[in-house]
Parts: sequence; structure tokens; C-alpha cells
Amino acid sequence: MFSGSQFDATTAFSGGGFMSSQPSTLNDSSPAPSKSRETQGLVPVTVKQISEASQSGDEKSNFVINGVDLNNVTLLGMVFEKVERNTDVNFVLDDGTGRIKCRRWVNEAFDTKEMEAVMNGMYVRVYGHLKSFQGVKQLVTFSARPVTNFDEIPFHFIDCIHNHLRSKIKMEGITSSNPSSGSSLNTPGKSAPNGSQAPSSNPVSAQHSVDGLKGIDKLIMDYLEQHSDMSDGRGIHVDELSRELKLPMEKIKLSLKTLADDGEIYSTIDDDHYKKA
Amino acid sequence: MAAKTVTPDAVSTLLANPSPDSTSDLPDIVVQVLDLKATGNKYMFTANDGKTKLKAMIPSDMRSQVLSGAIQNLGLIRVLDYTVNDIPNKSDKYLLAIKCEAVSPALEMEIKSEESGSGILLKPKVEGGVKTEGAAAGILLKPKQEVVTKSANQILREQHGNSAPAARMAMTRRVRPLVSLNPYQGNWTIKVSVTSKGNMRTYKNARGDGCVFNVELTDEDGTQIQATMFNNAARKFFDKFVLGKVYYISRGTLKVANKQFKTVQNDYEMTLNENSEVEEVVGEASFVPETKFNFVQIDQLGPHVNKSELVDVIGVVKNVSSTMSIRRKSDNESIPKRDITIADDTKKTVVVSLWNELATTTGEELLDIVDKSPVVAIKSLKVGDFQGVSLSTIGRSVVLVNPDIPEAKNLRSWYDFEGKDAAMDSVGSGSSPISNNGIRSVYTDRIHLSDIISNPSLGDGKPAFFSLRGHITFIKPDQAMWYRACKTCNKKVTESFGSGYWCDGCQKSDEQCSLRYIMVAKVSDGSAETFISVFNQEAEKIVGCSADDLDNLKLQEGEDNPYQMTLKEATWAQHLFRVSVTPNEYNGEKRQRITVRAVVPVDFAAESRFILEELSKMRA
Repeated sequence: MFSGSQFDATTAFSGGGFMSSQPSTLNDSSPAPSKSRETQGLVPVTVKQISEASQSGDEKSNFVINGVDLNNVTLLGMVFEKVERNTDVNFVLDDGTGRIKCRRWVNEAFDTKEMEAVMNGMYVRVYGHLKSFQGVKQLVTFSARPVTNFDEIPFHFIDCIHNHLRSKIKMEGITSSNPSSGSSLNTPGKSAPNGSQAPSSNPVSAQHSVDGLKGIDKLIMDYLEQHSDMSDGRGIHVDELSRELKLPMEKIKLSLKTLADDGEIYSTIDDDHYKKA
Repeated sequence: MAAKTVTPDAVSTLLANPSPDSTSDLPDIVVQVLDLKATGNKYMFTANDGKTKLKAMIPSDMRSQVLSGAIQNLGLIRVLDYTVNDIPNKSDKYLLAIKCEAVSPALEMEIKSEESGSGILLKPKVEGGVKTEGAAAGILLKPKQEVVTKSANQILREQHGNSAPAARMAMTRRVRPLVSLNPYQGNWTIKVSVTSKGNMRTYKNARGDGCVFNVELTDEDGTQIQATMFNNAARKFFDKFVLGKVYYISRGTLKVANKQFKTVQNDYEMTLNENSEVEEVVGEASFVPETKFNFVQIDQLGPHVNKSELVDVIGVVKNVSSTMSIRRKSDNESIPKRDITIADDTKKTVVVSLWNELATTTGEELLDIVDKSPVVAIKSLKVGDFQGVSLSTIGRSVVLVNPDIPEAKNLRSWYDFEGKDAAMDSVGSGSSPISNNGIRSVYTDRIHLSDIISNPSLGDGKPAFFSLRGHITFIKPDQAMWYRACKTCNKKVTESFGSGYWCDGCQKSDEQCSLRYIMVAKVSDGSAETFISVFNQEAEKIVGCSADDLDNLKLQEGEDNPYQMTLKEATWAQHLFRVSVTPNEYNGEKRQRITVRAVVPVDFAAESRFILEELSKMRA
């Protein structure tokens, strides 16, 4: 089962290469599928966070921040010391919290073209994967693009704070949502859908009209309806809703407030138990 | 002019002609001022013609006359220019005395006309009985007052037996302003008017059945508080509290307001029980609270979309639609509706839907003066996501046209100097461009990818809709990116033998067809990574060109390979997505199909505000 899924995913993921540079491009610009199952997605970070990241085991294992493995990261900062060579382009990224060396391997024309637009003193957004090379942390760069909307600079730092706080809260168990072990248990069954097979029917018919209730509200209403008998007059506790629907507590509470204001549900023995009206 | 007294039936005259065109047509209207008191920078009073009373307001520009003592309580004024307005959502009317002048300083008492009084006036000598010159004048005035005083006292005593307890209460206990109340006080008495009354609601909980209703109370200073009554107290006081009437209230309990349910700006809320005392104050005018605004700028309405908090906005009216009739689903009743478009100095516009009386009365007023670009301040609006961002009035929304507040003056200055010619665009543009599909704003239902992935049964039965922000991390170049589509109906066509393409839907053949995207991409956010299905309209936004154009690029072989380059340019890019999630089965395995319903670029400024709001919630 597991090995079968892995094999299918690998095959479907890498596909047949038409171009000679295809396999190396995949390796550079995309994560290996086995890694993507157990780690986070694409995490916004600052250089300071990277400098404080710990690395368990040898050089090939992932970096860890807040007890969460890093896979791909995105940074935003200023370019310095750009050096172009035949095989790669090196530069140092300074985002105000520190400096980190970045390396962009040049495999095809697009890589060269994109890096030509990057110049010293310029703000760029960088996507990449962290590596340790001879004891020094480096970023293997998948993409580096100049910043054109400078609102993106403060946005990036706010995004880092938000993501850091979410990881911290999740680690401390303040909210009971989405344990990582649950996530890893679910992902083995997931592999790439067969994109080569187009649906036979009109894709417009595949769309569904939006229900009157919002998505989370709908989930809550359905759950309250299904369990309206067994809980007699006590109602459903918000912790149960968060646990069963696997949604964050603040989302649950926000939806409950909206639903209560609309008169769809009401609170029963206290503010944490609700029943469908 | 020898006799200084009110004009008979002055109030009836005012009510019969609510909006006079020109002051030259006005009859002589003299009324007595009662209950004069300051409310903000205006003065509220009751206009009295001896027979009828009408709540009234002196605007702030006439303030100096009150301050100088020309206009006094119990004095007489002549109304030179006025408007009679409806108090919003109430049956009462009030007089706005735009221009008035003092006629007489304070009289000794409230004027009440009687037929016997007229008789006295007609034959003063008979009433007086004394014929000396100076003494006669004095005696003439004095007997009239005495007679009227006695009659008034008798009438009051006969008609309102409970006024004595109210008066006694006022004298024995200090009436406190609402702002001074706190839960740690002992005895207190407040004098408030009922400015909003809710319905009686029944509920059922662990302690059995019950009923509850609440009222909003306003004191003379304009401070408001919400009072709630349960069960016996609710049944006792529901009929007693009448909208617009004034009461002395004491022996209630106070607690910190539940932010989740509060409707007025007060840190506390009041609970009345069956031992609370509520005494009606007879003949007292309701305290019309000065409307306090907490404005939200139009370009910052995005984070409020579909939230339960109501917002206040101020803007210049750019457009007023005609009245429409909307049939309500619940009871099949037609409700009048009118849409106005307003703009503020953020150079954004938003559509406000006015309903019911606001659509017919205020909307008509706005339609008449829309050429002058009036400023409207609107309180208590609901923010919806129709066409990205839209506003809608509710039952207790208040619309003020050209209000006398600093924000309106500032907005008028900006509009006259800059805004008149500025290029405006809708506040919803950019946040949800596919507005005709009714897709909700990308600021609602925001979740993270891990929330979707960790719940395989999500969307069972009906698809679940969410918003998320993510990066495209991979688009496989050699997947089948598109299908051949009929140019007319967009359905799949098959290649005919010979030439052309056959469409089953249209049942005809065509020489040409178009290509439409149906592609799979990989998307990541800070929590997880997964595949998404993207259809034509959304894929064009991600890739940056149409499927036909991309096909042309693919045919261009060469070292540069523009097809691959285009896909790579689309990779490692950030978007806001609206997605639907349904479970899927493939070879016996349960999967999720995540379909993109809308794609918009990230507005970094709005997104920063959104995340900061999330951060403040996380810390709470």
C-alpha cells in the first residue's frame, strides 16, 4: 500500500521527459514527493529564523524551526555580491535580520533569463530550499524575482510573524486542531490525480452553486443536525466541534457567533454549548 | 402683537406643512419652548402651542441665541424657517427649527389654552372687578394665572394619578447619568427613554422554558445602555416599555457587557428583574440620541465582509438608482430597495443598498439632490460580498444627509478640491473580479491547506467552499493542459473525418474550435502542499495567457522553449484562491478534489491588514 502509493506518486510526478534537462529541472525546482508528505508547505521566514534553525542528524536532513520541519521557504530581501558563473549564480540576501548565501543553479535558458533581472541593491522575493554545505547554511534558490509592489516588503514580515505564531501555538497545544501525526496518516492515500484524462462532460456542469451558508458554517450546521438527538438538551461543546470537524477553534467560534446572530443556532447551558434552532 | 402668546394650532400648522418652500409663505408661528436642554452642540426642546406638543431641535448655528439667554425655557419663539422630519424607524416626528427668533423671555408657567380662558380674555373688566388704572392692569393678569394654575393642577391630578410617585422619586433620589453607573453601586435611579425595543423571544435550556426581551435606553446626555429582562420580569415589563417614552428606572443589576451580543456602545449592560422599579414619566419627550459614528473608510471594508459587526460609513453620493421591488423569500412580500454609490477620500466607491423606508423616503431625497453631490453618513450597515464588497442597511440603520459633523466637512473639502475629478474604482475590484458568478470574497472562510488535507471527508454530500492564499509551486509541462472546445457552447468537440469539429451539444460541425484549460497544479501555503484542479478562466489568470496562445508557444520549438518558460513564470507565484473541496474515489482510494473557483492577485496592503487582524485575535 504505502510503497505502491510512493511508486505511483513518483512515476506520475516525474513523468516522461521530453527535454534533456527535464529530470534535473524537476530535482531543482520541485521538492521530492516523499518529503512533501511529512513537512510543511512553503514557509515564509526571515534570515534570523534560519540562523536559529536547528538541524538534526547529518547534512541531508531538514532544518527545524519551532519543532516543525522546513521544506521549501520563501524570503524577501536585498541582493548583494551577485556573482555569475557558467553553472550557477550566487548572491547574498540581506533582509535586515541577517544575511544568507543563495545559489541558483542554471540548467536552462529560463534560469539565466530570470537571474539577469536580479541586480545588486534590488529587493527580490526568493523561493528555495535550505541546505547545509560545509557547515554553512545556504539557500538553493528555485526562483528569485524583483519586488515590484513594495507593500510586499512589510507584508512578508507580517506573514513571517503570523506563520511563526501559528506554529508556536500549534506546538504548545493551545488549539487542538490539526496534529501533524494525523496529517501524515492521511497523506499516504493521496497521490496525483490523473490530469491526462479530461472529463467527458461539460466542465461548467461540474461547478456547484454556492450554498447560502459559508463553508465552515455549513459544516457546523450539518454536525449539529446529525447529533441533535443524542445530546438531549445539553448541546454540542465547541471543543467537540473543533475536534470532529478538524478546524481551528477561532474559526469555529467565529462561525458560531455568526450563526447565533443569524438565529440558526443558540447557546444552551453556557456560551460553549450550542444547539440548532 | 399686544398680547404675547402662542399662535393657536401652531403645531398643527407645522405638521401639515413639513417642508415649506419659502419663508415668505409662512404664517406667523409662535410656540413656547419647554424642556430646553443641550444635546451635543444642538438644543432639544418641546414646542408647545397650548394644545399640542412637538419635539424639536435648534441647530448648532442658532446656538448663540440660547447661550445669550434670548431663547429661554418657557419662553416664546417665532419659527421663521423649519423642517418637520420623521425620527428614523419610529412613528414620531420632530421639528428642526432652522431659523427662529426670540419673542418673549421665560413665562411663569406652561401655557395651556382653555375656552374659559378665552372668555376671560374677552371680558377682562368683568373678571377684574376693579377700575383703577394701574391696579386694573395688575389685577387683570393675576386672576387669569391663578385660575389657569388651579385648573392645570386639577387636570393633571385627574388624568395622571401616578405622576406624584414619579415626582416623589425624582426628589428623594438623585437621578444619575448612565455614564456614572457601575456594578458596585448601591441604589441608583436613571431617567431614560426607550430608543429601541426588541421582540419577546422564547428559549429552552437546561432550566426549562423561558422568555426574554431587551430594550435600548438613552439618557439626556445621549448615553445608551442595553437592558435585558427574563421570564417574570420580561412578562411584567414588556407591555410597560413603550418605544419613545421616558421612564425612571431603579434597582436593576449591572454586569460587564457580553461583547458577542452587545448592540450599543457601553461597557456594561443592565438586567431588570421583577423587583426592579420602572415608573413612566408622563408628558416627557423622548431623548433623541445624537448619532455617534465610528466610521470605516471604504478601502478598508474588505476585512469586514460577512462579519457580524456592523459598520458606519461616510461618503459622497455619486449615483442614486431608481426604486426596485425585491420579493422576500420568507413571506413573499415585496420590499422597496434603492442602491446608491458613495465614495470617500480613499478614492474607492461602494454600493449601499437602502431598504424599506430608507429606500423610499431618504432615497427619494437623495435622488433629488444627487447633482449637488451630497454627503451621507450611515450608521449600522451590514457588509456583504456581492460584487466583492457591498453594504446594506438594516432595520436600525440611520442615514443622515449632509450631517453637521467634522468628517462631513472634511469630506466636502476633499471632494470640492480633489475628489470631483478623481478616478474612482469600486472597493470590490481586485478582491473578487468574477462578481457575476456570486463567488464570495477571498477574505471570508480563510483557512490553511492543512485544514483541508487533514479532513478527508470534507465536502461529503455538498462541496465545501473556502478561501486560501497559496503559492503555485509546480505545473507539470507535459500534462494534457486543455481540451478542444466548441466556440459556441464550450463543450468538448471531436475531430471529424475530413475536416472540421463536431459538437454534440450544438449538433453541428464547425471549421474551428478553441482550446480551454483544464489543468492540475501544485499549490503550497505555510502549512501544507497539495494539488488543485484549475479550469479555463482561472487558469488563464495563473498562466497569464489563453490556452490557444500557450498552444502556439508550444509549437515553437527551439532552444528558448517559450512554452516551458511561460509555465515557469507562472510557478513560484502567490495568489488568493477560492476553492471548493469534494471527496473523490480513484482505484478504491479516497482522495480530495480541490477545484479553484476564483483567483485574484494578492493585494499586499489589504492582506497585511487581514493578517494583523488575525494576529490580534490569536493573542486574545
